[in-house]
Amino acid sequence: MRNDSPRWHTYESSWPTYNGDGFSLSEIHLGKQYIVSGLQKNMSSYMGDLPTISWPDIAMGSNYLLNLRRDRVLFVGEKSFPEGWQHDHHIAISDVSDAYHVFKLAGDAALQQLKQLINLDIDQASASLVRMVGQHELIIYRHQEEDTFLIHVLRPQAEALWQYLTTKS
Amino acid sequence: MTSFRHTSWGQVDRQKSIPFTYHGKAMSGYAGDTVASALMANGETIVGRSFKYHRPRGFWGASWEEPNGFFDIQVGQQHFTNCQGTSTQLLAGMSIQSINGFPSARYDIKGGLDLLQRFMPAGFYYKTFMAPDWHLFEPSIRHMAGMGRLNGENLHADSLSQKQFRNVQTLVVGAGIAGLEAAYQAAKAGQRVLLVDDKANPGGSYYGGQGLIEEQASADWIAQRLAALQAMGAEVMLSTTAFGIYDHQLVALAQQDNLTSTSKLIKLRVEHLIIATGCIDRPLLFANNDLPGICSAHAARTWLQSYGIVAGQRIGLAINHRGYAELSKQFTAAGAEVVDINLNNGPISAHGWRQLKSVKQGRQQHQLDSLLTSASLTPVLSLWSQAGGQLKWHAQWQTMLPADGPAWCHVVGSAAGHFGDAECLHSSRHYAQRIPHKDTAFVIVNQQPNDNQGRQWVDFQNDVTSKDIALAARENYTSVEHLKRYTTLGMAIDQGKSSNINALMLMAECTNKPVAAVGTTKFRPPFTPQPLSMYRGKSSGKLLNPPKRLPLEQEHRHMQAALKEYGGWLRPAWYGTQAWDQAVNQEVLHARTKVALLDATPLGKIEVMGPDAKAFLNFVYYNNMASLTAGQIRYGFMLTEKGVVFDDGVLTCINNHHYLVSCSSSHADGVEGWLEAWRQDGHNPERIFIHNTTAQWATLTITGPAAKSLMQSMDWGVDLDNLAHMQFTQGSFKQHPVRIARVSFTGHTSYEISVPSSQAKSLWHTLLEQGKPFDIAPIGLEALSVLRAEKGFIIIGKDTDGETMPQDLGFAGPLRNKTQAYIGDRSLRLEKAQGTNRQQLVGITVNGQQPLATGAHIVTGELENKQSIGYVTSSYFSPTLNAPIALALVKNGHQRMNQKVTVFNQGSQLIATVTQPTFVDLEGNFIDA
Amino acid sequence: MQQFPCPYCGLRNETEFHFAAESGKTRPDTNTPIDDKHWSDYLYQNYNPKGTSKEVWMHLACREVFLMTRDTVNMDVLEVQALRGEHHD
Repeated sequence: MRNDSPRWHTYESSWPTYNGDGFSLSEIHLGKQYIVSGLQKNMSSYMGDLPTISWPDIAMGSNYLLNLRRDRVLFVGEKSFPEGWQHDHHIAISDVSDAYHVFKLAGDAALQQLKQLINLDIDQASASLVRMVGQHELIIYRHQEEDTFLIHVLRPQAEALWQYLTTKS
Repeated sequence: MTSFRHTSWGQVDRQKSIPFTYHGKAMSGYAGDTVASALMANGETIVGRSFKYHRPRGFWGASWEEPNGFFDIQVGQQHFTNCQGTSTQLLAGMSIQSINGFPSARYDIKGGLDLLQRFMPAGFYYKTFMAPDWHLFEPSIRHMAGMGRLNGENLHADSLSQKQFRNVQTLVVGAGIAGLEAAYQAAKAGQRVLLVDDKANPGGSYYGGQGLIEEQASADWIAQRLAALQAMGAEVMLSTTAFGIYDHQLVALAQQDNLTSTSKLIKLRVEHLIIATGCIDRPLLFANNDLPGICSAHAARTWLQSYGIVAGQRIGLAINHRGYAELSKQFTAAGAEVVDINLNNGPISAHGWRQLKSVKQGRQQHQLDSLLTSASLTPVLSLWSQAGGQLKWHAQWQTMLPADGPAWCHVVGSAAGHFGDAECLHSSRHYAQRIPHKDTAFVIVNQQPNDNQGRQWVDFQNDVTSKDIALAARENYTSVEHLKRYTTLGMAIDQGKSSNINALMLMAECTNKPVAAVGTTKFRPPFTPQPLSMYRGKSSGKLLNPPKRLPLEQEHRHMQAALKEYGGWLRPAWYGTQAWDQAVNQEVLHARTKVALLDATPLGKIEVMGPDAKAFLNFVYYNNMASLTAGQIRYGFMLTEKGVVFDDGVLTCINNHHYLVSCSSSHADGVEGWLEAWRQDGHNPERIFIHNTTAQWATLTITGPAAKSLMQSMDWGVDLDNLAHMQFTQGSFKQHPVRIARVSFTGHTSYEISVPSSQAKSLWHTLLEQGKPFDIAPIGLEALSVLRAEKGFIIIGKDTDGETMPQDLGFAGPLRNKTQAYIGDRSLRLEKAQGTNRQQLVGITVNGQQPLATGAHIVTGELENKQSIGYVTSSYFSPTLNAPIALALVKNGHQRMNQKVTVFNQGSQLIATVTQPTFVDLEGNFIDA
Repeated sequence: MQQFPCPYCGLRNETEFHFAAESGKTRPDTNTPIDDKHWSDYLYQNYNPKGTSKEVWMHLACREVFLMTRDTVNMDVLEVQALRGEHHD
């Protein structure tokens, strides 16, 4: 039986900053992240007055809600929440702070890099920030600047995404 | 020699010489040359050999419509086959070879094939080479007929390609004057415009021309339009071919500057498409119309304007319309002698051996080395047709024009029958109104210039003559689709661009039908050939289908893990540098005698929460899950509505409103999608919420006789003494949450320990350290496969197939006892499901040390009439028993305990015994309950 | 590459979607007796129309299950219908 270890280069699970042609890619660390599901009105009141980011909104600061589904947001920020089913508020919460790696893709050519994989444009609004690449999900939104994009990618797929974006073609 | 380079005309840069070789002979061209123009400048006349008869051929077209001149080109480390000379930019250092001629096109030993032409008409392949078996002839035919050669050394040379998704409001295809004007109008109207042209320079047939457009020098007019477009923010892309139209207004663009530059595939969604692709010449049909030196009139003009190539020294013009009024003056000014042949004076015929020497018309004979022909103009309408646009035949002009089509597409300029500058520009200025063409604008000189004498070539590349078309008609292949396939007309690299219309007209004549009734074959992308490498972008090799990676990969590598792909994840198969089977055996024995550590991180973890979570899960699972209490775990199946088991795993009840679904590692996403579909369509989604938290948790499994002692020696923030098998608890590991589940894949006491992924390394090292006194060692997936098979624990999709139901696996309890509805319930009560001859899971044992082949069939009956009654699904050598074990699905297996059966595999057979599907610990004592 | 309008997200490429079923089938209540034909129709009977087809789809990005009416001949998308509204009371 063949040993495939040499076929795949060693995976470090942390990445240095990469400077490409008109863009830079780096790993960043955010605060806590929670999947929060429930009725829209309940979620807003439970989590406080935080902006909900859709595409192409620009998230500011370190506390915001990422719009994922009709009844789901991803909380990003400094707060902690109890996990599980919150019966009084009719809300389900799961800590996913360790489920994602977050990359920052910035620069004039940043959007163009994304458009190799995904059909998105600044002038095509979309409620959910989730974009599919094959069977994989990426959460993509603008942060602080117009041409700065944060990408939340599930841990097991982060290395592949990094390789793809940093391979010249 | 016919063609030559003018001393000063053309847009090439005579200051930049480009050296290359042709069949080893050193030559040079200029920057801006194509391979074709450089060869013509060097006096090459015969540049190709036709496919069947190996007739000598010269260049005919201006770019992508060229049917004759294709070349194999080596440049640097890369080798390219079948490059079209007229559309391939010349690069320094190219080694160029003609194709389909040996040793070269000019001197081809197979030229003698043409003498056998009487015996090789269209369809001769079908009629000869039959007995005794056509396969015998195939290799020789392929060898004789091949186009181009692959260079074995450079097959894997990397070629760069990019892919992009884009959206644009208005796409204009073609940057001739019609396209430039239409783009300008669209931009002026405030639209976001992208203008593309497949040439390296804009202007279309006016590029390099000396004439006037609206009283202005054409170069100035073109430059002004471009500047205006840029000022309005429109984008212009050159060397970009719009090669296909797909559903929902998607246009595929291929951009590549030259053979060695990065190719780019752009998937462009458009709101409006303006087609300004112009026209090509329809070849005039007459005897010997394929001689080198005979070419398209429009092409000859392009060669002159773009490259300064003069087609010949004595040039005849055989043009059956008034569309090229300036040509005679243009070529005379270039220094050639020009003879204008009036096609009203009778049919013509060409003469010469290996190249044109003269043209006869009645009693007249003109000594010519070049003949520019055009029977009519053929609008380039492939994109229009791909988009769903209709074509209509214009009987007077003998050409196809656009008719009705989709609202989002417009055709302007000569492509829509607007011949002449004023017409052309008018149609572009008002493209939105779809101005109809004027019937008076274009005149055919002679509606019937042909006498049907001699060999008249319709498809140059595949050697199809007008007689072949008549033959097809006689043999009743009259539909245009049959005509194409019977004669091979339109099936070469040029895909019928120069031959289709002539073929339709001839077929109409042969069958006494109007041309409109003959129809056209379907236009399909790509419009011009595209390299497969362009379609892949960066997705090749490691980037094509990369596996998911574990947080502990470094740790596994550090312990000499052999990593392999399992269910889309890169996981340890075994550890250590010894032979793999020895490693696996050692790991199995270690797990049964000491304590083993397994990375189970890929296991699916899906949280189901809400007031209706319990009822929902009870519906989704085959098993009774409503009776689970907090802290309890139950093994269960998920069935399809057809009653087939599609996932197994454990369900944990954390509390009445919070459950944890643990499903197969390989399709956690599939199970989550399944649950979501039922949640939203059939249940109340406001009372059930499903979170896939697989990536949040890293899971390590401790298993073996010493597992409990090891766990009790460590601090988990919770008492584990009373944690029974199939129970769950939560605690803390170094101030982080930890989930501990007693679930076993091996039969021995096991603990699945889950921590947030960031703590995986900490947990791994702590377990290894604390486990030292217990002789802890890691085990991989291969050992796990053996351990679970020894206990008869199934793997869905390996030990089950598309028909396996739970009762086949020995789990009939819920079928008998569960009263609430669940997915698949009704299907389990169908006659077939209740049948007695179903494939059921059993064990199979054999003598000796050799495991059975997975997939081997269990058979009954005499050897000649053997029937398969099942097959081996899993098979291993068990080091625990020092004997081979196997699981199998066998018809009526539950009734065959201890029976001897025959196992058949690839010609050999063995006697085996059917047993229970459990080989080790039949009483279940290994679990310290 | 077709594109479909998810009721929640708007237009996205077809590869983000999953075809679930023809619409109009209701799961029989298996707590009551269901005859074989009824169950077989539920499992296997599909109209597979040439032309207008009403279908159940899922947008994988936001997991929205919705109804989409398409023309199976010219690929036009005629209508989409959410199963749930934006806000609940």
